[in-house]
Amino acid sequence: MRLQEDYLGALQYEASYPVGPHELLVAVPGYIGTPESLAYTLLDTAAEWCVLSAWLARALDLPPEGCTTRLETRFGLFEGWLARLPLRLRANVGEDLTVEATWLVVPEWPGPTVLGWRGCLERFRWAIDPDDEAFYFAPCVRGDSGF
Amino acid sequence: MIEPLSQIDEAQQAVEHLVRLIETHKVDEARALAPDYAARWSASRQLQHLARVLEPPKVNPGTGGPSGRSLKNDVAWLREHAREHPGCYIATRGDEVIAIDASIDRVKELVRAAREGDPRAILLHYEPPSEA
Repeated sequence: MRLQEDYLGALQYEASYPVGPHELLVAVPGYIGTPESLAYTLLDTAAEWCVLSAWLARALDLPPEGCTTRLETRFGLFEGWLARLPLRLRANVGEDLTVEATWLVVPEWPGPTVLGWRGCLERFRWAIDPDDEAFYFAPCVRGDSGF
Repeated sequence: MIEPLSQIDEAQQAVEHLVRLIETHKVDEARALAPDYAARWSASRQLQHLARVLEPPKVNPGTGGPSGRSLKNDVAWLREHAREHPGCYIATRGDEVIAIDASIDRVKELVRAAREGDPRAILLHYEPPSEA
């Protein structure tokens, strides 16, 4: 069987990126909310939401907005709020992609920044090539898979 | 115009209902209801906010801003030295360390100064404090 898919761009991810006590198995860099600097995030398809780490929330100076939401996680139960912030994937090869993603902002979150499913990974085409540590991305094209 | 109290109560119930759906992982249901609730109680900032954050994400090709570059040198430095700076924000640009400081305001100031005249991407890292 031969499959062929098109991607808009690709960036290099980092395997086993250490952040304090955490090891980000697949760490994807991106600009979150600001073009000033980029940061590594943990690619986690099992996470329901993207989660903004406490330090990044401080760096972005995000005021609380909307209503409080509770999140059950492997670190326990946390409270935060949902916010819409762009994630810009900066291509090393090809073109960039910007996702207007939804993040759970948790001021007390002890873990790393997480790229989760809802409000982010669910809406664009992506793939990884572990051999090159490449993360490919593109907008979805409905019906393109032939399913 | 001031809304009648019953309208406020209903809007608050709608907010609580959406939050309950989100917390119980019924996000598709919340997504289906949120636009209707937001239209029905247009004065409720919480419902407008929930409708916005529950919208499926929009995806756009983007250009401009700092160019993509390899972060290998930044990461090599961070792997070797970040743990020497617990509780600090660290900004790097290739071989160059732009800032190391516990104050994010100070680091942002140095990042802004470093970006002037050099469009290459700056990587921001935070090294959590060591556990006792």
